[in-house]
Amino acid sequence: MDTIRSTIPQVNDLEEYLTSTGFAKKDVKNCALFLQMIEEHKLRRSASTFRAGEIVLEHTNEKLRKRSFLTKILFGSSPSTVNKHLILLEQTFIASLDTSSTNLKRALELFNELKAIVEETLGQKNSQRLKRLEGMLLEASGEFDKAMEHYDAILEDQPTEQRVMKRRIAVFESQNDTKKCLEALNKYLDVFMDDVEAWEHAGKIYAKLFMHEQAIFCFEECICSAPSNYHHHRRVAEQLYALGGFDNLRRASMYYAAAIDMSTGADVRALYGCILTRNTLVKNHAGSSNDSSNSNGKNSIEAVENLAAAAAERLEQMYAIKQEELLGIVRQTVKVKEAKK
Amino acid sequence: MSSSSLSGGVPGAGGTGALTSHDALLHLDPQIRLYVLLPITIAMFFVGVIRHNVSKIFGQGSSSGKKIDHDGLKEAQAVVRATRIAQNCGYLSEKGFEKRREYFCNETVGVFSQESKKSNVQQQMLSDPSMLSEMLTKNLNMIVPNMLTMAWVNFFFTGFVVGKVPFPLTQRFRSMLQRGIDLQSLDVTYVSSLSWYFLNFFGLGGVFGLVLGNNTLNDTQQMRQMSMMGMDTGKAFKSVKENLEMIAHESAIEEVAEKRATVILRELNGGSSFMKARKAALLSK
Repeated sequence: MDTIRSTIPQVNDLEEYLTSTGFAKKDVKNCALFLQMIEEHKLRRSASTFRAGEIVLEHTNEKLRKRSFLTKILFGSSPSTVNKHLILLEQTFIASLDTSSTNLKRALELFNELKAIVEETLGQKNSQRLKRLEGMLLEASGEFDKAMEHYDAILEDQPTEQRVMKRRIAVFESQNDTKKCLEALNKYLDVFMDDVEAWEHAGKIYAKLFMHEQAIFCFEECICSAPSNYHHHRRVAEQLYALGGFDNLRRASMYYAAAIDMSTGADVRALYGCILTRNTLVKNHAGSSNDSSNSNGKNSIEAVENLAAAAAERLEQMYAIKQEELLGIVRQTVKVKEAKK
Repeated sequence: MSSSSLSGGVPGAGGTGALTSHDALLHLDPQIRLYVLLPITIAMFFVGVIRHNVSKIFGQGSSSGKKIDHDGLKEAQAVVRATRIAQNCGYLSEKGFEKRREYFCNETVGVFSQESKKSNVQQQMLSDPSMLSEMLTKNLNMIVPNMLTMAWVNFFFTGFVVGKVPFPLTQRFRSMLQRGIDLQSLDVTYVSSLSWYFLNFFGLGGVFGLVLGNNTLNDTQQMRQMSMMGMDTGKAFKSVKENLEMIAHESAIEEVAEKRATVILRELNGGSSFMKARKAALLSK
């Protein structure tokens, strides 16, 4: 079971098959396979996961009902069966939280089923995993304070429970409490400083708060862990652009260039970005670059100009091919403004 | 209960080859099966079940009190992050890199200048008596029942030959299969009661796994923590710190990046494929 290795395209194919015909036909075998793949890649495709989970659950329940008395005695509570069932229930439960945002009845049912098994069959009265799931259920129904109580209780017991720390951040976020959210996120990053996604998230929050320096720091951390991911380069560039000032704009243009380089010109945002950077540079700092008198300054402005001109042309071409109706607007936007003399 | 299992009729055969013909000479009383072989197995099985449940009760009490080494986790993560930064520092701004280096390597407050707080297991045991007692109960739970059953087998069933292995074996197996019986002349394939106990002791694990199972639900996390525990952060600190301190920061984000990007875009504008544009960028350097 755990030796199967699948690739993301395989998961995509299977999902497509399931949504087109598999779910309607109740193809239990492929549904189970799909759930396994989701677990393997830690994906979050809740709609499909929920449907697949329901089909497999229905199937196993039917099988349980049909079993003879003897097999029930022999295998009924065999640990591997129970574990498998629990994992299936948990997966479906979490997916149901995502999908039934208005109607949590099914999620509640699933949770009660889970609770019954964990507390009665396994005899674990104080399961932290169950507590976390209950917290998630409360979160989904909007009772953030109660959910928080659950999480705090777990954290008191196990201060480094990573998933619960993440949930706390999520709660603050859904309450729109940015300050507390950042506080929790910082506390999390202080321990789990290897978590790139958390850094990225922190960067986005800082960017929203116009704390560009901090945002740059976070995004730089992302670049370090994945230097060839152009999104991170572009994000740093955007923050630098927002900060303004000659040096920052110069660096912004360089990071935009890196993003363009790494995406081979496919990152439209970066293309727009370097044109904007150039325009601002020319508008606000045309004098300063010449005045700063080192020959470097003049030179570098030239590099920016060249890049912006090439980017503008690239954009026009891209729109001409893909969305011609927008071409006029794009031309207006990317028009390279003349430098003030 | 027949206690005359060995007394008579042991053949004088020593070699393995001659044994098959002498088989019939040692007759094992069926009562031995009923009163020795099966009771030992059944008793061991039930002792195993009881032990499992006892350890579950003890385990539940202690597992909630078990704290993961907060500092150890943090330090391990810091090492990973610092290594990554050292590798890709070119993408950071000068200022950003210095800030991070300061955070890690500052002589007084830097993360790597601190003594690694993650204590090794021995120190932990000294500082935390609960850990010691936990280990003790675990061991007690393991040793005491086994000693008791072994003593029980030894006391009541010494000297019994309880069975026979249906295939020939070499002399080397004598110590394994005939513990408690000092009879050179007895064929190796006969199993003594004490040896039967040991065979059960090692062999019943699979049966327990099937019947009782091990609770796998919380295992993954424990495994990860274990792997964190294994790291010698003290040594790692030193080497990563040295590494970071030695680095002369050179920015990889320079004007060259702009020129490269310009070349790529121009190539693309001229109608080249992605591959060709990339190649042109490489050549442009």
